Amino acid sequence: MEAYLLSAIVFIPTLAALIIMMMPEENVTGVRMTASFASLLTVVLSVVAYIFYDPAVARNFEVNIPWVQVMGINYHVAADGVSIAMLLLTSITIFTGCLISWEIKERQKEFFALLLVLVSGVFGVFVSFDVFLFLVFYELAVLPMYLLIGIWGTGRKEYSAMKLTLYLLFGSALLLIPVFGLYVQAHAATGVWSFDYDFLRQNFNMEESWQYIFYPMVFVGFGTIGGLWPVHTWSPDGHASAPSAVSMLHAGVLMKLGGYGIIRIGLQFMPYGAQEWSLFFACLTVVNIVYGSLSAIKQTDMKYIIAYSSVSHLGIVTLGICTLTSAGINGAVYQMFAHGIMTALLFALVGVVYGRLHSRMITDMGGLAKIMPFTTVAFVFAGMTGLGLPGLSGFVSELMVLTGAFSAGVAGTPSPMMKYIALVCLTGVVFTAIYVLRAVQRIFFGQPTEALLRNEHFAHLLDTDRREIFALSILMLTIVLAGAYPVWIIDLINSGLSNDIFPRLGIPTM
Amino acid sequence: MSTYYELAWLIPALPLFSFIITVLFTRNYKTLTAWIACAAVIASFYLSVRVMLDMYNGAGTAQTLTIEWIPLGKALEVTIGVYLDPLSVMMLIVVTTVSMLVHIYSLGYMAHEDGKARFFSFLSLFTFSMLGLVLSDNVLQMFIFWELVGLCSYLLIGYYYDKKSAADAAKKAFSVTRAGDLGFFMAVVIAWGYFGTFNFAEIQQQYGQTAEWLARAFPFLIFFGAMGKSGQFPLHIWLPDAMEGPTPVSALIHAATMVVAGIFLVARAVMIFAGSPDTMLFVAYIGGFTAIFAATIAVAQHDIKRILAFSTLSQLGYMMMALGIGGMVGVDNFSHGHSGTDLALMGQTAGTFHLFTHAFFKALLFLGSGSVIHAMHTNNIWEMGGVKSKMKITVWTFLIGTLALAGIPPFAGFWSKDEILALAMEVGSIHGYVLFGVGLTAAFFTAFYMFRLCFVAFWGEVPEKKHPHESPVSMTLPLVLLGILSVIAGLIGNADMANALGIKTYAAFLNPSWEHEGVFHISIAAISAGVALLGILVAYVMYAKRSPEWTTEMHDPLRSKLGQLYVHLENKWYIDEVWRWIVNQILFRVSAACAWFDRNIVDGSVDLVAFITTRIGILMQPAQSGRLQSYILIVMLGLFIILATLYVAIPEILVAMYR
Repeated sequence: MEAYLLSAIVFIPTLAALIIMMMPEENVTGVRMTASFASLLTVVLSVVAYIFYDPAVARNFEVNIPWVQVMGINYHVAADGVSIAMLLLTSITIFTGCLISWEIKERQKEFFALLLVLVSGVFGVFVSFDVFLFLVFYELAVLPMYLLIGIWGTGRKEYSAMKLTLYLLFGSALLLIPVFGLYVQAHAATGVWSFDYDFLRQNFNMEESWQYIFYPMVFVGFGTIGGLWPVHTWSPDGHASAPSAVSMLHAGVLMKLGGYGIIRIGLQFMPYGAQEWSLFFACLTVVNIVYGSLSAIKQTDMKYIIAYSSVSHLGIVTLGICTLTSAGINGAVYQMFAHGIMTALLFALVGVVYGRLHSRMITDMGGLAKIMPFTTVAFVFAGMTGLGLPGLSGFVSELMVLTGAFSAGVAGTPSPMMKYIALVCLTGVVFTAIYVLRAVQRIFFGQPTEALLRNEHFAHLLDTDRREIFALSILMLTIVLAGAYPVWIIDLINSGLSNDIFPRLGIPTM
Repeated sequence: MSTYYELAWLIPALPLFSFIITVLFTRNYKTLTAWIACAAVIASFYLSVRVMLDMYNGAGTAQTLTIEWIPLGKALEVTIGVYLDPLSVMMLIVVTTVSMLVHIYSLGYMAHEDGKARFFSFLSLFTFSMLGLVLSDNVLQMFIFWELVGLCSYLLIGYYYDKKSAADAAKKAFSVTRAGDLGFFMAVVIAWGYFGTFNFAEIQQQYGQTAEWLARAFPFLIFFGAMGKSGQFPLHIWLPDAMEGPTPVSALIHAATMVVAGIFLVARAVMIFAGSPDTMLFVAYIGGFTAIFAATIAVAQHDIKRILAFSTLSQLGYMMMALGIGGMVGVDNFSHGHSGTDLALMGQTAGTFHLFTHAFFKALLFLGSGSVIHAMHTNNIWEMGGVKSKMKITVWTFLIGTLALAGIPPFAGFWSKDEILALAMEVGSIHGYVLFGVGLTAAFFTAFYMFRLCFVAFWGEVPEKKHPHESPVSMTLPLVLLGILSVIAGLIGNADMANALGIKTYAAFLNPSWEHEGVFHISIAAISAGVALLGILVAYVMYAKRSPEWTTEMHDPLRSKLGQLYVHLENKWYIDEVWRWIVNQILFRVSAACAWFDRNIVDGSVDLVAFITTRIGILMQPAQSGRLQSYILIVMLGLFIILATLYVAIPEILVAMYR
């Protein structure tokens, strides 16, 4: 039975999408319930996977079936610690996202179906141990976004959707070069045509000169979806236009595919390239972290604030990878998890406020705390996670990545520059505090502004209902569990990385 | 290990449980929440006293609990635990005592507030965090709880969140302390990067072999954090504004416990600091400057809580100065027959002893001011007056606190302040004498502004339409208890007094292996008491005839005497304005520039690519007209051009084609 676990997680959403497509248009409740139930099932199965996960085994729940034999493509799914952490993240995000999406007013059927297909793709990426399969799932995850934003979005939605899709396609086009390079070179070296991750890992070492060429392609290709500066500008527009649940899923999970891909493919197959290029990309991540948080300070649209904060926080992920240390890479993966949950919470809350007031401008609000106490608590909570308050999850990753960067010289990377980079990135901590506190204060504290009093929706404003409280509470609980006692999740991640990434990079494992 | 040592983990855990329970289950039951919080803190207090007694009887230093927090071995190893040594146990007593009394006081003070449940939950969270902070054996655990107390401070300053001034003050407090914490966080990261450990003792052991720049930078960065939290100039600006919070919060967090976290941090790491005499000299001067700077501002303030807040700043400066004076000689040097190590320990003793006594009398003063505010419904001392005969307990205990703060023997503040001044003389050197003078001047101002406050607020007649009455017993009881502590707490600092009572001195408790006693010179004591009396005398001459006509701050007799200087003092030397300028003119502009750059240059170049692509598309559009004739025309034209080119280039091909 174990072997079917991962496939079940991957295909349950697709199955649910098919069922939804067969439902009558009017049966909105049925559609919502199906989607929520299917996503709940993935949460349960992910938790089951976590419980039965054996850190001593490199590939848990492994299935390896030939798919296109001529080309050496296998349906090879398995899970290591990193995968499990990402499965938990994805399933929690989609489940809460479905609950928040009950607000969607038009074409619910198609909306939920697309959302679920997208999630299948994301799950697929996280469990694929075949490079081709990985890319297939990756494209499956990226493309529905175009429709989700283009149809159900707000504002300049067509523009944003087009921009986002073109950017991400640019990224995946860039990826194809190193992936096929890997495929062809491995054939030349071993005489076997294979996309199998473990086969390639064990039987092939890429030439250093090729690693040097391919690694930046992988980094930028995945970095595009991971919010790497300067190829991040699709994200503010994309988030601003997307409906809440899509933003949740997008910033929460989809952007994590970037870091995940760099680790799985970049670090694994091009360790030498990684060492050569790390300092350069670390410099870009400084821009991400500091400039992202600086840009967020003066924004007035809630979604832009969160989008820029994502740019800043995802810089922590890429910086962690660039440190090439145990603490740094563990911290990067931890940050993917932590930031995913946090940003899902933030976008959900923006959805709550926007759904009620039809405004996202923080200058037009004020004093909402009296009317929306739970929303306020949750927003302050999310904000505190964002500014790295210890006890909540954001702090752990900041600490891990920055100490990782600071001690990078110890692990054998060449330059003391990393130390300065770590110290400069720390200033982001202060700027983050400023924009978070500013937003909280403008939206919730003080007295309602004139603009808010004129807002026709203000008169019958209500706090979150039970369904929303339930969804938000799950996210908050996860943040506390991960932040107050991070041992369980770090052990999980570290066991995964120690199996095949760290030995490859020459990082000592425990 | 004694039983109470093994139970020590409960001291922080009980308030944490109280927080969790009250937040999750009892938030709709205000009274129940209040009682749960009180019960938890009373139990913590009891355990702390028992642990203190064990420590007093020689149970020794121990790490009684260790929890792994980040388990990456050599890559990153973080533990959280309960570390008991004399310093942390002293802090346990301070925190639980004041916290317990503030909890009890709040039962009365917050009785009719809607947000009472929220208030008590946050108090529990604060108590937990503060206790976690003092029980740290490593710099990272300290940072974790350091941030958590900052959060509680933010939440409680913003307790009246619908009031803009309160929300602003909360934001300011968090941002400013956060700026200081930047240095602290850097120190944490550096600690792991260079020392490979977060543990204070282990870092200290390595201190002999470190590079000089590192030995200097590490304590300096830590001190940056301490400056933010303990309100040292120029990061002091948040503390006066923090008075927007409810008065019990001001007493607990912004006078007695959280703001002394910076002092505690420096005291905890005093040997690391003393490894860098330059840093300690800096600490001493920042402390001394803050002491005198804040004291001058307090002279011209009108809000009773703000006067006390500036007084707190000034006293924090005093404590910081004591630590700095002790350490500025440096561990490897000697001064006046004392080794540098001894002097650093003397600085630690003097600084933390002042922390200890100050906690009680300053909490007393704040709670007393709360009682007066409760009765008079104003914070402005000029709108008060005449309560002396109406609120006897409040006013008399307040006067005890005032005398303690002013440094009149035998009240608590006298002993601790005197120890700091004596230490400055003991160290000698030009810096010692200068700082002695600074301390003495600050003592004069302190006595003056406190008695100005008392005379104006309590003497004279009750203004019309005001009917002050004594507060309920839950509020007066803590006042009386703190009043008693404010009288006796100082006695343990003096060897003769302690001997007469048959107990160990504070110094002997803090450093059992160390044979020194706190320093005491009768001549210095006489000078400092004389200066304080002079301050009181000046205040008496000016304000004792409290006229009922002094109804606003414009009637302050000092105003005409000081002229323009008074206005500068009233405006707090314009430091807030300087910061506001920095934030508005520099930070916000940089931010706006970044946002503009991102939208127009980075994103703009992408849009430009898109634009060029579209343009090219539009240029090519006419070619796709759909008219067959023009397609054929173009094809024919193309064919002709190709053939013509070929004919010119390689004529043989045409020949070949004809065949």
